Amino acid sequence: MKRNVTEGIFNILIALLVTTAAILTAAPLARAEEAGSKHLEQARITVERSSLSKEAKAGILTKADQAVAAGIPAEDISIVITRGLDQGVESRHIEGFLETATRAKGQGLPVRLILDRTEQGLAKGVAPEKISGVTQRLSGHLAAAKPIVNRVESGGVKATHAKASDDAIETVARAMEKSIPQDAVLRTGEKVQERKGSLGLFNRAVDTMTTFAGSGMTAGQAVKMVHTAVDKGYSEGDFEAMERYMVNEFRKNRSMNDVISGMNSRMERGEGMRDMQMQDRPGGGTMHEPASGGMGGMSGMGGRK
Amino acid sequence: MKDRKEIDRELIHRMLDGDLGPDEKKMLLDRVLADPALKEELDGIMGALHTIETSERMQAPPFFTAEVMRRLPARKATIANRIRDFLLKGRVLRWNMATAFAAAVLFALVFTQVVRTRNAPVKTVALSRQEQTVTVTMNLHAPEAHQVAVAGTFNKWKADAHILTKQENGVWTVSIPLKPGEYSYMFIVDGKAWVTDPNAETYRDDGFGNKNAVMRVRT
Repeated sequence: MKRNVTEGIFNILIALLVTTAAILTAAPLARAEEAGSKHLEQARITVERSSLSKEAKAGILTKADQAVAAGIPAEDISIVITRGLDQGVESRHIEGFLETATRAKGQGLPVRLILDRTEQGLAKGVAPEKISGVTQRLSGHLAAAKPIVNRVESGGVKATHAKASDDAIETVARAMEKSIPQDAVLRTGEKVQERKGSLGLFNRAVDTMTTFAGSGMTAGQAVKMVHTAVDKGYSEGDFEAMERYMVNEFRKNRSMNDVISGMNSRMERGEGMRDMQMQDRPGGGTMHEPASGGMGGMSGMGGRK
Repeated sequence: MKDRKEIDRELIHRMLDGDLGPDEKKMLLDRVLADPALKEELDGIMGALHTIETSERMQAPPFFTAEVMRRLPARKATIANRIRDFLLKGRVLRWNMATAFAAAVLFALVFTQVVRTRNAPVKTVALSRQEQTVTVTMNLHAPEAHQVAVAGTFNKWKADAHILTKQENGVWTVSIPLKPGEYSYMFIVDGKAWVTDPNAETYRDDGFGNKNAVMRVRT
């Protein structure tokens, strides 16, 4: 009798445990679904209330449905539609933005950068034709970047977190925007692998290369500088410090040639970029802390602390 | 030396097993006809066999062995034996369709969650991480401005999401809690002029011919 009661209580406990687990598993899904449908509903209302023709409204909503089905976040779809309509962008362009992201997603590419460029371009009032061109080219660069990152990973460079591959694909795509050759990117991967570095280090190295190339260095100079740094065993933090060093040197009105020779001479002496940064910054400070913001005139003032 | 009865019984058992040759069969038949007691014994065995073969086969109830074992009086066990039994003793799992269905539903939910998490857009993945946030304060000295906002990757470039507050010295400021990571941003002065932070950590092309400021938030 006593045994039966114990068994009954045990069964009830098991049932409660199973039910709780099921509810806990289902709750976040339900919340995500709810948040997603809220965003889409908002976008739908915006489209319905707009002065677009019936066909144009239907066209946007169809592309939105396709984007949702492809797995594009509902919030981003909603932002592209509402921001586009607010800016008076023609429906064909809004459809095009959604289609570019949907197609990229369908190819298994990370779409964060495409969505960011679209949302950013719309917010800044960039011409829709320009946004379309930029995002379509970016989509092509992402498609070209994916096999490069796959090769780097298959060469033994390990991802240290779930999003590392996607981050690296986006970084390589941005490098291609700056005309950095694919073989230089692959060579970076080989050098990182030789130093037993992670995909995070590869990502940071290519990112720094892109920043250099976008700041006035030739692609060749940027590649050479970063490859030397990888050979010297520079860390992700060192690469970040290299970028800060360049920015600080520019603030002192130094030329790019001065920056390059300064970096080279320090690398030859075997000095870490973080040490160099500490010496050159007025007042020093911890390099991984956000720098304190300065003040100036209206055109070029501001800062962050 | 075996006696006659033992030899007869051995012959009967071998006959039942189908092991007797023709000569032995004849010998047994003669013995049965000659000995009424032996005949009665053989008839009894044959009758029992017939009853077993023709009776209905009963199915043992589920968990018959486990039930029998459970009803046996429990032996007194030491604590060490109880622990050992708890850890190592074989168990019989009872189940029914309702339990199996509940388990299947649970498995499906967990499996769906895992698949969705893997394929989920970046935003969902980010939400699932329990990351610490860091409050970042952003400043812009713009004494002539009537309104200053900041937009960036942290607020999906919403121009009205983070409005700065003007201080007496003409510095506009705002504090934003952000997760560790890298963010591009620009200030928006009076709702129309996009201004790059001149004191940013580093800069990145925005893809449209301008430079975004970049901040790296660390724990």
